[in-house]
Amino acid sequence: MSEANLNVKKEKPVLPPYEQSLHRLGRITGIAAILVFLAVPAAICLYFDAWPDMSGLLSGIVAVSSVYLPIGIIEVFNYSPMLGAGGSYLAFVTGNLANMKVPAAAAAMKAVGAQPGTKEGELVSTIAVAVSSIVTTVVIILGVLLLVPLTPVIKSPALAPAFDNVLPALFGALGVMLVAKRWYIAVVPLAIMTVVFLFGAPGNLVGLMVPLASVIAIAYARILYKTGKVKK
Amino acid sequence: MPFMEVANSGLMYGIAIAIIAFVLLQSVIFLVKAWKEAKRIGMDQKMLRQAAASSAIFSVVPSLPIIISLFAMMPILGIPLPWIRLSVIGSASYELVAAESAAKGLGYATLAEAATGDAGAFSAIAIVMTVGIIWGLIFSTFYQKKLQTTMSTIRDKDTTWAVIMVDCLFVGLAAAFGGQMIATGGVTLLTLVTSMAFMAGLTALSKLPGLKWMESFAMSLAMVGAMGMAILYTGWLA
Repeated sequence: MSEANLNVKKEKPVLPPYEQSLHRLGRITGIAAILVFLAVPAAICLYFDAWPDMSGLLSGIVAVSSVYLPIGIIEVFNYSPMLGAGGSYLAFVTGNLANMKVPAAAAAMKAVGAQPGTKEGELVSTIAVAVSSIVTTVVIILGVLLLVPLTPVIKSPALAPAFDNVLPALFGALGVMLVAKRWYIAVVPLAIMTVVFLFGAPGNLVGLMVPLASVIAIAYARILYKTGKVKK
Repeated sequence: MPFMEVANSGLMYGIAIAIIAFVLLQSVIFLVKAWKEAKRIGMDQKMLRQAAASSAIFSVVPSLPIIISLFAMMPILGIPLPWIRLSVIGSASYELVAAESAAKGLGYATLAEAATGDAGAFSAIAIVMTVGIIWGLIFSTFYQKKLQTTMSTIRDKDTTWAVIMVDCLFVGLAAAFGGQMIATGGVTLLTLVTSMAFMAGLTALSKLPGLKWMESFAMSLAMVGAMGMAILYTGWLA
């Protein structure tokens, strides 16, 4: 290999202007969000002079972070390629990724025929995540404002089974949408996941199993792709 | 000062309103930025409106359990803190787990018992709920650029494979949740299958002449239909 080729390889890829400014905006708003969120408990401590017991506090932080730190990092790896940069910067501030932002982005991309992982897909995903965040925020505001009239509906025992089954209702519809195109890939991770959950894995570990199922799907798809059995 | 007085104080309401305003502002900034760029590269405005409408319609139903969680958390943590926490990172299941862990760390038997404590208990719970879930946001903020650049490199090398790989991530999400729900069985499995059947039926219907509008509503209708059937299934299996 010539020296010129080596030099070309070493160069960092130059991002287009939109992507450059998007990452700048993402970092600024991300840092602002971190500071604003941390300011909430700080304000409580300062304003009310309410300082917690440090050893109890640390044990609480360690207990929760030991589970959610790895989950947080895995989620960034898993969901960012699906949402693109804009959608990810926003979704990691507003949360509810698996049960709201990712399905919203997938539904929007499907509705307009945009392909995930492309520039069009990334823009549609950002729009979808932003709109979804606004809708959820507004719904919660309405929930707070309509606390009294909503209480009998929300706490109605007759409606409880419906609200308890939002996730299967969501993933059934989403599954048809997401898997229809790649059903021959989906059967393998779906079968493995079913067995994993049938033989021991607790249901609340499902979030941790998403990256494992994704890796299985990618590995199987790679084999099919290399043998020419899977197309765009 | 008692726990509940701090939890429902004017300051807490003020902070909640400021956080909600921050989240809304950030969402609007990203929305406008993406919309302008989409316009610049020549994407059809009608298509963008359709994408926004699809997301808005879809997001209403999955937001309802968040209201239920808000109602569940209010008697223990007051209104503003659950309002803040459910509007930002995390999810309903996380918030109660984090609050419970904080209460136990402080030596209380339960979260409800901590709610009878003082302001220090409330601040400790607020700190644990905030810090415990902040890692994904920190990692995304500082690592997103590198991650997306890596994805671009994969795309530049082999566009077809990059598209298949991202599709596989969606497949993984559906497979993990689907597998867990199949293994759970009972009403969960019946609701899952019903929702799939509704979605398949509505998608087929939306392909008929004059019914194209149904496409944007298919997912929400399938969800609401399946949730309604869950009430019947629960009655039958009880």
